[in-house]
Amino acid sequence: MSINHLVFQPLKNEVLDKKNYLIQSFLLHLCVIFMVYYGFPNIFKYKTEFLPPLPIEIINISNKTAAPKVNFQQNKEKDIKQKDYTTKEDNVKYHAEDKIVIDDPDAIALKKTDLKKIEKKKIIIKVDKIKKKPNQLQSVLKSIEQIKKDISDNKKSKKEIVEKDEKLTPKKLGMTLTISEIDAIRRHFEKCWNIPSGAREAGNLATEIKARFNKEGNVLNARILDINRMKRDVYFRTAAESALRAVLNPRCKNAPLPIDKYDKWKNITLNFDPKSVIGY
Amino acid sequence: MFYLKKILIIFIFFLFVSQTKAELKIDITSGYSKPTPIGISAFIGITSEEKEVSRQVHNLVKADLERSGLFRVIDPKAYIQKISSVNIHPRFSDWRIINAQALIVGQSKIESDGDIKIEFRLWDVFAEQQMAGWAFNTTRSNWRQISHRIADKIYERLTGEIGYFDTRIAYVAESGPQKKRIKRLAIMDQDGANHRFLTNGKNLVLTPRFSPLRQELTYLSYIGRIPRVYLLDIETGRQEIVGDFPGMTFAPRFSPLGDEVILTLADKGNSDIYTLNLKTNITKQLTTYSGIDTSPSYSPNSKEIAFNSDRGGSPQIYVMKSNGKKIKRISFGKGNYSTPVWSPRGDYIAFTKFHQNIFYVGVMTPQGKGERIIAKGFLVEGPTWTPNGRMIAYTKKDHPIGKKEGKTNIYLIDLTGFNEREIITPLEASDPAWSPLLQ
Repeated sequence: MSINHLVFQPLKNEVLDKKNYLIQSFLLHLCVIFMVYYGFPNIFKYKTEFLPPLPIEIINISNKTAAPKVNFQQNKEKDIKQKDYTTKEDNVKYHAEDKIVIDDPDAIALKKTDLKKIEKKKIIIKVDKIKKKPNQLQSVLKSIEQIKKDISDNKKSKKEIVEKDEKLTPKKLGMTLTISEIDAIRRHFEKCWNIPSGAREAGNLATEIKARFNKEGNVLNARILDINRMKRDVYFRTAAESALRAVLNPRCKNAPLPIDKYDKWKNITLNFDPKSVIGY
Repeated sequence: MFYLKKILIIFIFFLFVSQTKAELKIDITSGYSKPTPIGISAFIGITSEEKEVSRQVHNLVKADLERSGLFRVIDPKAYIQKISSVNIHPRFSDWRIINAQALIVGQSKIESDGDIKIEFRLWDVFAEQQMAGWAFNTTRSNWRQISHRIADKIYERLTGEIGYFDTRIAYVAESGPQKKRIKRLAIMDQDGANHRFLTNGKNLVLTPRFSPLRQELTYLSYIGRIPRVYLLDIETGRQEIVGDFPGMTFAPRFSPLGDEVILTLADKGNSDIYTLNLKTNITKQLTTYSGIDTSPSYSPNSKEIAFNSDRGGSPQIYVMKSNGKKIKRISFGKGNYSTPVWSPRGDYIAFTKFHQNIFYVGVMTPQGKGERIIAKGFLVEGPTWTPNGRMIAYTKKDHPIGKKEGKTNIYLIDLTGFNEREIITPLEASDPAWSPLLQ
């Protein structure tokens, strides 16, 4: 009698399996939520290299930016003018036929004498044409007048554009001193200021000097603003005098001030504060 | 009409406000710290004797100001204008060219009674105005003191601090081999002149301290091999023991009013701080800790005392009220702190620190903030302040690697840690003490 070789399969614990499924499902969901929330990890991510820190100079920025609001109405007008100009130019091309061609708008800026020469030429040429074609006389005369008018109009419009451009150039937009200009002035006076180091209460010795400059950037006159404190506080007097000496120092002549913004810097209040230097 | 006026005033006001608003304001928060260049014109004298006095005064004033480290006297060869009188305005442009920020002119006269009259003026070259002008009368022999006073006046006007040139330094003069060292009390003018010894060296002396009011010193001496605190009258040489304490007394210092001596009494292994009233002879114990409390130093307003204690496990600096209450630790850096000395200005406490076999002298605020090391070396210790609280003198000894130990000397340094220079003494020197301004 042969006995079948029976292999008994281990009994499955259904309850345990169900539990496992639950745990697996929970973990899977958790993984999905985790990945959705934090994103998929990038296993090919390059190793981060820490670059050496860059030295940064911190500059105090003015409370308000320099540029005033641009008047878009003016821009629109300018566009319209430019459009008119091109149409007139086209007209010029059309009326002048093959003899007068003003392709280059810069030609408008030609000298008066040149223009006159051109006009004379045009007239001569056109008179010849008139002889050939008398029925075109009226239109030619009209075209000459039109050319004259167009040239004067072009001159006018050019002028207007230049004037409006001047109003809208960066010069006008940034009439307040820029941060770098202010910083240049700061550095200019810093090199002349011998700080009263070691003075008592150096944290409270900030001194304001009001200085008036000429257009060359030289100090016309300078004065300490807090005269009353000068009289009662000898430490302040010393600090204030050192600040005044910095402003009046001949080695600090010709401050780097932009001439076109003279109105903005002809009167400057310089606040000399030794606090940060002495570490209070 | 009235309303019209009102409107006009308001209009002008707003105009002014808008004007001031528009004005540019720039903060200057950096600069340099170098000695101020000044010109000292040769002092004027007519007769040969006056010329000699003028030369002596000029040289001393120049030396004092240069030694302070705050001024650089421009070489006289560079001067364009030769000043012929103190009573005329200098040509400021001539002095501006050589970058002299201040100018000193002076002259001396011999009076009919033989006394000398020295006048000087200090000019602000850039502002083109007089900053100070003084005249002093004195006997011919007193020219040194007058010169120091002129330097004091100039220093005071230019820095805002009181001068310290008309002062003296007491110190311990050292001589002989290390194992058999002779230590004597000595005194000299702050510029090294008029040097003399106050004790003969028979007994070891340490830690001299000046009285803030009188020409008097308190110090520690081992007379009879017992360390005790003594008082010494500098003029008469009279010496007496301070108080009648049972044990050893050391680390003495005067109170700011000069009526008390604060010191340490060591008895049976315990050191505590005591005060002794010099008028009433009444003693008062301020600390009661079982370990070491020592090196007391009063604040200039007498309200607080800084001292050294090991109550926290290592020597550190503490501050307490003058009645011994509200003790508060103020030193928290690495290392052991000792010898706190309160600045006469009251804004800093100088100290000695020992960390990893290196000594340091530094300063911190009475709240323990802003600790700043101003000197370090093989041995730097025992700081003392100049009367204006601007400079610190201390003992320094070098020991370069592979070489013999150097000499012990006194050095002077600015509070900011700049301009360290040696105070020249005839012998090796330690434990400096600065006198108040001479009267």
